[in-house]
Amino acid sequence: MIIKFIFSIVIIVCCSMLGGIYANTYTSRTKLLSQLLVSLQMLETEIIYSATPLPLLLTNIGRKSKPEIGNIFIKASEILLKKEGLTFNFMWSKIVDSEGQKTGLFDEDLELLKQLGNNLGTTDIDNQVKHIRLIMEEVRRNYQEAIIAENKNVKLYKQLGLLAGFAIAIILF
Amino acid sequence: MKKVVNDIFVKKIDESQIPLQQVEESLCPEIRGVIKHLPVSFKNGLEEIRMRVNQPLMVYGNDCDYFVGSAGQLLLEHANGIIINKKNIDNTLQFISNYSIYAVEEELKRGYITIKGGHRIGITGKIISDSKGIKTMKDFSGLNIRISREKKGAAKLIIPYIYEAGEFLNTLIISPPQCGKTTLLRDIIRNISNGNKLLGLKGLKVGVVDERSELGASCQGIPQLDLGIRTDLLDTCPKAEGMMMLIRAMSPQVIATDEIGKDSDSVAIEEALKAGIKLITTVHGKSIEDLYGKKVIGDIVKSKIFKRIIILSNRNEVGTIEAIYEGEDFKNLINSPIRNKVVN
Repeated sequence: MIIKFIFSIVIIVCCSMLGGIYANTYTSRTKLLSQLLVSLQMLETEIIYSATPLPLLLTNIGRKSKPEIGNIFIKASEILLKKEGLTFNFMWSKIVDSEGQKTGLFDEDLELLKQLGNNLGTTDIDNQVKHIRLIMEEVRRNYQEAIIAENKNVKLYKQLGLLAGFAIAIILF
Repeated sequence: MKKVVNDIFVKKIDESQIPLQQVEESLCPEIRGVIKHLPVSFKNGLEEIRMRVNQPLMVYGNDCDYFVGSAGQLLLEHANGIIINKKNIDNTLQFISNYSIYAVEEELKRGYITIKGGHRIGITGKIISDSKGIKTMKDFSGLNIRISREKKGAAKLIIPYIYEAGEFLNTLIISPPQCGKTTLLRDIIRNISNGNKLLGLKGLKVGVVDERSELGASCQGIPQLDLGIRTDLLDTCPKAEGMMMLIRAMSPQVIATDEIGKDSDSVAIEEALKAGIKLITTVHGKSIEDLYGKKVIGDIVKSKIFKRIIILSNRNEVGTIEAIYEGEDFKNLINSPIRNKVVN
């Protein structure tokens, strides 16, 4: 009886943890998107006011950003500094593919990040600003969606986890 | 012992390849591969790499231009030459501008970018202008990559003439275009700045106003060519303003500029002379008589401010020193023209 009881509790705890983990992907995406917005804002400011060349700029932004997002920038600047002759666009989408998967960003967010690489560094300041603002606008929209999804899903998945745990426990009892 | 000799030899070879390595790094991968495989003997004399959209890649060196085959072979006919496309130019420009076109807007307005090593890259494309003048350039169509090889020693024979009793004299260099005027001025600046122990000359603080970035070939403000240890350089600065800035801020003993001639320049020159600063500058022309017709510089020469006037030509070869005149009574100080081989 006691073993059954302990076993049920373990199942309930595990299931609610699973629900929590699943709910967490929504929370962390919202956080990352807001951090990404901050990083993009920094990128825009640096380009307007100091016209820092991209390799150095990416290092600066990378250091100032939160690690998950910053890592992408730092990795990119490391590759640029090697001067291997890769174009920015090509290199950036590779980095976003490999490093972006490690973050909690969704595919549609990574797609936006890749779009950033299409024009970054290839035009004058005015057009750079327009381009970055456009991407920021899109990121912001994703952010709003992420908040709505978070509000809707976090509670849902947490409770779903808990209830599923109870359900399994009751069935097995 | 043998190993040491070997090391020196290896180092020497490396150094001669540095200019080309820097240039290769700024080419797009396809063109980089081709230029890498050019014959070594030609590479050492390579002066220009030219890329024009939808036209064959061309290289210029040893007074001759060639088309280039896909394996790096030099061709006289363009039939088998590599054709440059728009992507090649755009990608090359990415590397030249260090992935940041927005950071080189000022340079684009002037039509060239100087990269590390002092190599200058001329750019053509579509110009966007407004009422204030040229705004920027886009839709790039052509690149001319000029490889810079610093030649030192051009001023060696002149230095004894431009000092008197250990003191530097105001000097003017008169030369037609393409006669090594800037190279000579650069070498004189380096010599004045470093001083010369053998001739008992003390190094002087030199302020350089480099309006067209030719003297120092600066890349992001840092001179890429050696202008000496006591030299302060204002890059892409208008001459008159620059001279005043230097006088006020850097307390130079000598001010050097290229191609003087505007009205505002004479005010700055007066100001410099009042402050007891010596001058060295250049002007386009063939002889002293040529200058009398020019307003500003003619007046300056007539007022005998310049104590030495050097005339260059390319009569025998580039950089020949035709005459060195004494500024008071225009007496020639050399008997026959000096061939100055180092000048490029």
